[in-house]
Amino acid sequence: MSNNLTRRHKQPADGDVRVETPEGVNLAAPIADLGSRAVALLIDFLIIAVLFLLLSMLSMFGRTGEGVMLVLMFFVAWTYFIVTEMLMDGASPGKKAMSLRVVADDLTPITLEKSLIRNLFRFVDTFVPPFCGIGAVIMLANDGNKRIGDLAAGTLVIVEARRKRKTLRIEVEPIAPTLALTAKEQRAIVRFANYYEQGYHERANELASRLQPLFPTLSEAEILTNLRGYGRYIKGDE
Amino acid sequence: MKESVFIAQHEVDWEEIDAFLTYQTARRRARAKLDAPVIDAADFPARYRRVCNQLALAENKGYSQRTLERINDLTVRGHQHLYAQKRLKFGSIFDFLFVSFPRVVRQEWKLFWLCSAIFYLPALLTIGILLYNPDYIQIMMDADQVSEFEQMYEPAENERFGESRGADSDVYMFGYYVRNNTGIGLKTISLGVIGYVFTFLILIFNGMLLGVVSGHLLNEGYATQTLFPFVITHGAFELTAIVLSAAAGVRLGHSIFFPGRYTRVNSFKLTARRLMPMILGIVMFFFIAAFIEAFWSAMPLEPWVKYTSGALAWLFVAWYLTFSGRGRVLATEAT
Repeated sequence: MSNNLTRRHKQPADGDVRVETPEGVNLAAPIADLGSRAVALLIDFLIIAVLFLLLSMLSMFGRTGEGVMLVLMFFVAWTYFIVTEMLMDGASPGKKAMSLRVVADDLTPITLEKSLIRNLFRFVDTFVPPFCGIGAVIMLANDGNKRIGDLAAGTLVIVEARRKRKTLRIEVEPIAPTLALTAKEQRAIVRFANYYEQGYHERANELASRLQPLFPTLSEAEILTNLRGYGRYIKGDE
Repeated sequence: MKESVFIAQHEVDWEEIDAFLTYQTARRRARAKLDAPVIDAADFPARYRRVCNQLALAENKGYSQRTLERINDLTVRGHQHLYAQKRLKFGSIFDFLFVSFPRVVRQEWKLFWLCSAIFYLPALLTIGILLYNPDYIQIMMDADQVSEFEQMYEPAENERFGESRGADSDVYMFGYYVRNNTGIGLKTISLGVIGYVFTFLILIFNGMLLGVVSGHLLNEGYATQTLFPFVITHGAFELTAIVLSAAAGVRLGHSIFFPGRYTRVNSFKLTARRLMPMILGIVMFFFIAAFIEAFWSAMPLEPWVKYTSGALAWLFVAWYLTFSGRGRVLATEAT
């Protein structure tokens, strides 16, 4: 039943799910963490509570009104997530607020069948102890942060919008490397230079200091600047 | 190729695809505000594959994270659009009603009979005990509860019987049954995955409850006048739905604890998917039962009318689950 066209890779450390598409490229999408999903759930529960409150006004219309209220409450309780996930492309209002989205394991949009299955198990996931739900425990114990419903349906919750990164420019003058560097080494240097520009200065310093024994005449700061300059040169940015 | 040259070369390409995807995924109202995309839908697959190439290239060249993420996000959206799974077909409602629901129940016939036995045998046993010695009711149930349901089914006291009294409350009772019974059924199903001991306990407990009420009222002499005429018609759907929910829950749990030749997760996934028609069918049965219970069972009619409708209901359920959809091809699978 798992789609043969796409293959899931072993979970890497960066919390992205990687899927190989038929075109032979690897897609990456960040997996939502327990915390943001819990907040999303809380928002959805608040909305459901408000809906229940509104519905309870139906009891003004006597016993018949109460009957209608009970039927509608059943539907709100058991189909709120299914309806919102289907109408809003996999994002219930709570998930939308947290910019999360449910997708199938191969990153294709969620189908009705999958939504039905994943939300059938919402009851066990959220209301059965230990803690606030066995789902939370299960989520911590598998790769894709999946609760029981996700495992059953083959769905994933991903983060929709990544935080916007600022334009990355390597802010030093390009320096032509004096050594003959292999392609692999060049890539490593470019990645290092990019890494520095992403703001991880301390860690980059620490990494660069490892090279000190190789270049005893240069200071740590000079090594760092040189590496960044090489990076800029190899990358070839203006 | 320098990264900046690469970006300059494909910038327009990406913007066009971005516009196309935004347009395609927009809702109707939002779509009216957007410009029609430059890309023709027929060209999209080719354009998408080109972006895939660019992603592979960019990864290989070690371009900056920002560029990679931009192409990656575009590819993810393109992938989702291109490989979106088919929406529900019209024929699937027909399939569900006449073919797949009864078919899945038949696939699970062993579990169905096992759960039936676990449900009905305690009921029969309890009735037997109470008929043998009526006084055992005292250790089986609170005196308050006993007098409560005695009153409920007291033949002389009310015109309408069962829990429903007065036409005005029929809708209320419908809502009550829908919310409670269907909710309990769905909970039973999903609880099955954390160990179906609970499922069996729920079955035994409810079976015994049924037995206590029936046995005691038989002793009191109300049973054949009010209780059985009341429950028999909707019972066909409700009791069957209870047994079916237990069977579904047990099957789901079983697929995790004894996955056979599949991995645990895959076995669970496959089973959940296979059982989906049955779960929807259970909800349908609970709704039918609630409807009958609220609007028909409570009507003050002669017992023989109720017994006739009850017999018809049980025959229908038996026929439906045994024969419906045999030898049929699913409408959605037919070519």
